[in-house]
Amino acid sequence: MRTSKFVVLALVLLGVIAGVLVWQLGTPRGLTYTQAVSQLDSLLKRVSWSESIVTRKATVTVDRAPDLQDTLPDISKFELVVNPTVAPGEVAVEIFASVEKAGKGFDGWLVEVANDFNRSNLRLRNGQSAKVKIRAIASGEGYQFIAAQKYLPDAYSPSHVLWMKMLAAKGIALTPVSERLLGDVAGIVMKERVWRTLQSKYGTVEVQHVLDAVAQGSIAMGYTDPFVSSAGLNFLVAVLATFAQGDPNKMLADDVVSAFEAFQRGVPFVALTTPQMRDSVQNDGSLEAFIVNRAVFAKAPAFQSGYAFIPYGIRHDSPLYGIGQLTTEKHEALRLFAQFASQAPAQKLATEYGFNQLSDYTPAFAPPPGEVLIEAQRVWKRKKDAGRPIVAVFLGDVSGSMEGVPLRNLKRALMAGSQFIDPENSIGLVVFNQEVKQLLPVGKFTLNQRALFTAAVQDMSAGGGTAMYDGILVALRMLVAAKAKQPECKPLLIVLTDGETNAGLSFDKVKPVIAGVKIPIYTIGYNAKLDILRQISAVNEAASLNADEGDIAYKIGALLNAEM
Amino acid sequence: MKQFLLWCVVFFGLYGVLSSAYHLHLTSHPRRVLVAVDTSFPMQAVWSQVPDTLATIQVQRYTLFSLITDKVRIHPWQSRLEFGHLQPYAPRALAQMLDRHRYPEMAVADQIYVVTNAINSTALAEDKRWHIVQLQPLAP
Repeated sequence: MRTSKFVVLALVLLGVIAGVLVWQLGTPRGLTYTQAVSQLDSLLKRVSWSESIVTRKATVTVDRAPDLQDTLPDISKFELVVNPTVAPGEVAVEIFASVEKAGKGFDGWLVEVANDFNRSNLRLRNGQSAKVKIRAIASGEGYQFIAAQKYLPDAYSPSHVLWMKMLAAKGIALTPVSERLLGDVAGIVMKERVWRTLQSKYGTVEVQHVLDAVAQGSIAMGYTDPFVSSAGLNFLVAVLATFAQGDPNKMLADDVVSAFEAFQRGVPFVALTTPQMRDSVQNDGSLEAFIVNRAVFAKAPAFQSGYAFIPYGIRHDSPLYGIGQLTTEKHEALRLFAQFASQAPAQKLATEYGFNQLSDYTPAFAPPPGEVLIEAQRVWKRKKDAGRPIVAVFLGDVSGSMEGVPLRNLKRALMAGSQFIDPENSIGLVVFNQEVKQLLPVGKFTLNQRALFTAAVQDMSAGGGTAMYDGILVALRMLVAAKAKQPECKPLLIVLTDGETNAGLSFDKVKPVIAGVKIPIYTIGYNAKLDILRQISAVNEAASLNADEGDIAYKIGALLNAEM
Repeated sequence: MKQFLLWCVVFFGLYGVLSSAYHLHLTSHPRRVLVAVDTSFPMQAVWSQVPDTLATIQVQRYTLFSLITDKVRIHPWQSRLEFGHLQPYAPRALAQMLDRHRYPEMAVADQIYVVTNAINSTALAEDKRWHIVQLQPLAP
């Protein structure tokens, strides 16, 4: 009797162990590319889709090179984070300030200092009291507003002086007020194990060693768009200056640019945001290194151990310059503010915010002239794909909720944004409501394709439900086919939508396919901050943006300028 | 006949012993060949010839090879040259490639091959250990 009990118990135990083993072994580990394509084809059989290929060609103009400045939104899109009431007899100056010091929470040093300054009621020599208004705006966006003279603040405080050099080259009158409001340095961040590998190979780990490791395919690195991001522009300049040995006359020479191209082959994507790159490195994604400012590095809990920081380029000391012809009073108010910000209490606060570290870091090269920097941005735009063509499919939401103004704005944004697409890259267009329609097969973005694309966009009309995942599958199939024809290409999908999916397949069904085909999906939510869009983009480390009628053209333009 | 057999045994035995000793000597004292490849942008014009050039150098037996470039040491002494995925880029920096402090292998190498297409590169040869392989673009 006891023996049989023991046998039963043993069998139960064995059953439990076997169950756990089966459960563990049976856990899905993700699809291979071939499996994902096979599943994609299988799911497509359940999708209602058709071809409605555009044949009409719209008139397109190619009279001049596109410029991001043409798509700038209204300045009100950028918040005045310090906006005191200005009484008669007071002098107020508006400062464009970069977001790492004029943002919210951990990034709010300048906001605190400006509020303290306004409260202290300091007076000019003529007795008027001085006030400051702070508008938080990314350095590159601030530069674009000022360079285009779309909106001129009284002063500009980007992260570093390179933007000032570029404004000077554009003929904007600048008056230096302070070369340093605080101390900061940009750097390459990588996990310590990656750093140790490089150290064992190169002896020391300096910028040129990281660049070589990326060029040789030993590590993958990400950086931000040098048209918008200060760290990104500084990095581009550091790459060119490193190989030109600091000589600005050689920075754009063929052999130096070849180094940038070689490096660029090891860059999986140009990130739109620092968190996008940080997540990739932290989660052992496609990146092993990325760029970030020292202050951000110092503040982020995730980087407190196990990461190395390698400074590069010029310092990010937040200079403050007057813009245009300022009155004597405004100039004096700016000087008063700069003095206030340089005093011990404000600098102590800056240190608490993570700034003023690595004070002994000295750049290996001087800031190049603005003309060289502007040309370096153009070189970046031309060479960033390193000879690998981009194949992109736009997936547009034409469901009922897009009817009227939203669709009109989306069309305008798509047509304006398409100017930034390099003719060497290929484009396709798909739209969806409860059904999916392929409007334009993937083709090189020649004048002919551009005319077809524009016509297809012009003819888009809204109505019906929202079957976004069905649309994603159709677009992915087009990209998979393009990749089969052109294995060296970089495929990407850009989804533009305003609402929740209410028809067709679900995210759970398509997620393994998205992950398996490894095609990045950029999502642009139109008046729709949807968590699900972030989740879709996060699968393959792409960016998710939210836009509205005021800035959708600019955001699409900036995305395409960076990626295409 | 017996004498002949004895002579054969002595001859081949001696030959075997000497050969083995020589083999052991060469194996334990291999020649060291340092190969320095110019990986600058101007090398793009002749880059397709580099793998074959290295294969030719590698034919030597009883040899350890070390491979360096103007940018980094690709590998220390080992029995085979491993070219990997090198690509030519950046301005020419032969001085960096031939820096004895950076690459102490130069001091102990029995032969140093420099693979480049730099004009007047033959002047780089410092002594009879140096072999300059000056690549020329292939005729179309």
